[in-house]
Amino acid sequence: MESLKKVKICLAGNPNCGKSSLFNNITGLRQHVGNYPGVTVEKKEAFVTKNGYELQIIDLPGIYGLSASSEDEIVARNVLIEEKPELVIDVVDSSNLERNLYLYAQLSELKIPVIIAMNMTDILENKGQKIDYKKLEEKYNVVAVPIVASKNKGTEELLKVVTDVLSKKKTIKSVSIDYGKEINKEKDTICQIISEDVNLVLKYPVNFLAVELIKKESYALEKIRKSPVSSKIIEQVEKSNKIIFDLHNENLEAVFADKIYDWIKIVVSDVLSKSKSVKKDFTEAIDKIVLNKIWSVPIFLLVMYIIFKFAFTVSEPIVGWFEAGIEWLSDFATGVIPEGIFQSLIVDGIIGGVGGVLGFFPQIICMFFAIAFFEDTGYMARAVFIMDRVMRKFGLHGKSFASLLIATNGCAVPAMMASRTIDNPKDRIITLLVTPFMICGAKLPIFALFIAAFFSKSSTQAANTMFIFYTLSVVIALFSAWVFKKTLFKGEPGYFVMELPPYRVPTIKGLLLKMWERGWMYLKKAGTIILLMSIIIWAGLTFPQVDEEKLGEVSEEEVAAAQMDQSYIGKLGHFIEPVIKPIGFDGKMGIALIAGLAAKEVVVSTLGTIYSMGETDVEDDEAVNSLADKIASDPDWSPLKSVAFLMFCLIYVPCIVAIAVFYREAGSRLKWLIILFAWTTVLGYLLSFIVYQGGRLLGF
Amino acid sequence: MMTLLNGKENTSLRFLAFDNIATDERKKLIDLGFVPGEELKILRDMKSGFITVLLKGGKIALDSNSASKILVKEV
Repeated sequence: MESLKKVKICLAGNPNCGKSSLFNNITGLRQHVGNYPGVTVEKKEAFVTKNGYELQIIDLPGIYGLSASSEDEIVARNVLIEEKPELVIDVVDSSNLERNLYLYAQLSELKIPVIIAMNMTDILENKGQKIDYKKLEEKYNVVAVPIVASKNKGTEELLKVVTDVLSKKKTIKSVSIDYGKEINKEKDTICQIISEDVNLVLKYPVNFLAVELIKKESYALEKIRKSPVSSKIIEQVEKSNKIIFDLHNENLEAVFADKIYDWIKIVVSDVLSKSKSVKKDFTEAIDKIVLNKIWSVPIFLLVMYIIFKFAFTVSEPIVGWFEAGIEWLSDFATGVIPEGIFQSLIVDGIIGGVGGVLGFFPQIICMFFAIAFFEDTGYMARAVFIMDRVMRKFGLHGKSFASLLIATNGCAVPAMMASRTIDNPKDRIITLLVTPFMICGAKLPIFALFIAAFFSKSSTQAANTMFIFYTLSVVIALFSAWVFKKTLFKGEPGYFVMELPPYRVPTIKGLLLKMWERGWMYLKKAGTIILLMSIIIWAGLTFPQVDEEKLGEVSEEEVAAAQMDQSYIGKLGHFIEPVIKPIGFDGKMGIALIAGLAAKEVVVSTLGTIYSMGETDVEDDEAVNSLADKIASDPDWSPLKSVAFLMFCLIYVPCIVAIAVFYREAGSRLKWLIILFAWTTVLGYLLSFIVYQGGRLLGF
Repeated sequence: MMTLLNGKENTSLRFLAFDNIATDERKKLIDLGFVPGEELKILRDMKSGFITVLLKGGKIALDSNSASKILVKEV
């Protein structure tokens, strides 16, 4: 059998051009896609076999050009320049050719074959426009394949062209931008000097390096620093830079960009035929309302409320079915497994713990569905822009809000990574410090549990309570950002510039895929870390075992209470109780909070295991089936205590994975980690204390 | 000559230069098409609370600070 030839291919393109969708179509993977900053911030790769090739497909963060400034853009540029892919697929939004071809022109300078995946051709057709692909290739050497990534159209045709180019069945002639006689002359002079160093020639595309050097790009100057001809190059760069500046009397970046855009104008006007009839711009009409000075924030709050209302209303009956299913499974396991330690492990430990978390799965996926809807319409990109104005009052900007949104939309880990799009390092650290305050998918079951226990006379009341806590999480994040900005990170926040995508009608398939992709992450966690933690908690509650004979004639509840007291976890609970008593918590609540450091859902699974083991004085009522019912019936809890508990859960130290990612993203500096621990613990304790003691004083 | 911050809704402007701008911000704006001589249209002005402009077929959203560093003139 013939061995496969390995080839590295990069997917590059502007933000929101559909790279990740194409990546998913090619590789069959389900990478998260979105249309606001921070969705793809690091390279993602996958391998596919096609026509005798093993293709290593690398999905890069979105970039407008190769003059990178934020960390995600630097990742993209470095992969393209340092890792030398055999081919680049430049994903282009065909409905916005002029801007998208700018990156293509820069990529073509890298002297790597570039194929354009001309995406969103359906939108182009709807606008009554057409691209002459034949002319594009024959006259301008630009090879382009029309695709619609969102509908997986054209992927096979694109891969056919890719493998044809790799097997030399098809050749791509190089595109070279004419910068004008003077610039070309200076560029050629620098190229000649660079060519004197073979290492530089082998490592970097000479033409591209020369252009970047003339512009005095710091990363390009760094590349030649160790070259034996570096002083000669720098001397020439200074001369060339001055000559070109004197000639144009403009910043050199603008001069080069201008030349590229001149080339693009010629190409676009020649290959793009435009319809004479101009269709109404619905995007602008919607933006007139959505980006209204007075209504923008209320509309944003309404959207967030709709998301919670949808999640709680639609999921209500399904949650009931889930709870009934878990109850049935618990009864079934009790019936078939002989009484003893193993039955307790399965019923109390695993079903009680993991089941407690899985009970909220319907709410989680309904919320992911609702968020995906607003994301796919293009509204969330506006939300980032709207919140920029609010965030600035607290010393941050819109991209920080994008991180907070990503956290609400799933997990603090990708949210922290999304902060890489923020150019200003100070803003980035503040964003990292406040992101854990958001109610992520892992914290959601805790809130859902206590809302179900104490605040859910109707789905509307449940949604209202959730909305209040969500708003509170944003307020705490903003307050913390303000404190950090006034103390540790003084100075103006960085700039905010972003391209707003046009509004689109989401597809049901796309929404369901996103919902499932994020829901699956939750299920995977339930089957791994939550399962493991449930077993550990169960073991901690089961051992050492109480000697029932010594207890004498006592009820089952009294045996369970004695077991809880004597177990390892019980002892740990008693140990920490004095510290947490002032905020209204007892030992078992403290244990749940400590266990929650592994993953926040574990707070629920731990409570599930504790209540499943029958330690508490829940009322002997047949209706008391679900974990929420058990908590509501336990005299150790009250609505006031639950609010204090939720307040603490909202703020206290993030889970261990989030801590590790925080440390890495904050430049592996212990200082920030200490600040994170200190701030979250002190603020969490203080606010819970105020809620609990204040509530008691007010008679709650 | 004026800054983009002072531009009125639905007016077409020509971009002239940047004023007192940081390197990273300038590079980002150039990549987005802010090159001297380029025509742009103000879709939403500061009066409406948010500045958005139509540039090279795309809608660009800017904060007021960035808009104040972009020098333009009416076409």
